[in-house]
Amino acid sequence: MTYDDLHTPDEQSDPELGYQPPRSRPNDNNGALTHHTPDREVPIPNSGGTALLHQWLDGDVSISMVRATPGGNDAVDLWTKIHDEAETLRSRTTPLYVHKRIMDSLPDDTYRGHRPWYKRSISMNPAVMFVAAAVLLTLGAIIAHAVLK
Amino acid sequence: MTSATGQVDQADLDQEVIKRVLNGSRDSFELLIVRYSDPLYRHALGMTGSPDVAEDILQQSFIKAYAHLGEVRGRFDAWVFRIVANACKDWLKNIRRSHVSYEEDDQPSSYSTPEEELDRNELRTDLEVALAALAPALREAFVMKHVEGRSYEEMAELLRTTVGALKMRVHRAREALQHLLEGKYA
Repeated sequence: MTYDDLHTPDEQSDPELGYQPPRSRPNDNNGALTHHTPDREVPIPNSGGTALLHQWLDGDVSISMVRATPGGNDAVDLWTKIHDEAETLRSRTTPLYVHKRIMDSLPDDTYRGHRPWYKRSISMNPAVMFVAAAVLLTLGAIIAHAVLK
Repeated sequence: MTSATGQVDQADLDQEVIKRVLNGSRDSFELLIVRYSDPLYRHALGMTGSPDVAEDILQQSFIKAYAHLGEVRGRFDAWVFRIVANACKDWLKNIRRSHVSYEEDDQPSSYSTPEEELDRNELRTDLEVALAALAPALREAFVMKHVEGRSYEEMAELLRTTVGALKMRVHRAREALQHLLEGKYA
């Protein structure tokens, strides 16, 4: 068992991780910067095996190389199970009723004003019919007047 | 994996659909929903572990996308992915969940024996608990890499960060999951 700094410079600049890893701070005795005292106890990592495991999971090395490392068989078995589970999730599709639910919840008039007037649909009601009739009568009267003149 | 040419063609098609919607054809938006809902749903499901929550996030995200469609610059799929991804992270940060898991799922079982189904259900529950223990950014990276099967380059483009930062997140997520699960399964 040993202490180790879990945080790399890359992580320190990664705002998405949502925390600020502890940094070096002045030493009380002489004011010089010292490495921070880690507050977590972690096992010594099998760096070769761990690195190979990540490379295998990234598709860069073969499974046999990982199995050949100490504890490699157990790690491969665990990740095979996790991958099988991930595979199940990867085959999931959106339930069809969700498409309809989304379409039904979209507002009707968001982009109606963007459509040219001649492409817009007209909903028939008594007022529209009255206006249409008045326009047609007026046009008819104008044409009749012009023809009879 | 979609080829670069395929992506360009798809992006052109998306732009055509977006133009139609902006010109008042509301129904055309359904083409975008049908085209992109599955990968977005899987992302939301992987991030939340709950089909009901994933459906709600998908619905709210598409409504938001529809309302702001005129602001799309570049690829629609990347833009709408970021809306869903942010909604998932907000949900993880804000919601105090009593209990959610894939157990809510009503999809038919595909396992050959009841024992196998029991084992898989147990792993599924344990994996969900382990994923829930991760920081949202680590869970997001893990889900995109191992559930959605995306490359680091694709992830970097979608999340607007570097490949190096994403590799770090995925590695940290894997190590945390392995630490949480290896006692029982390895």
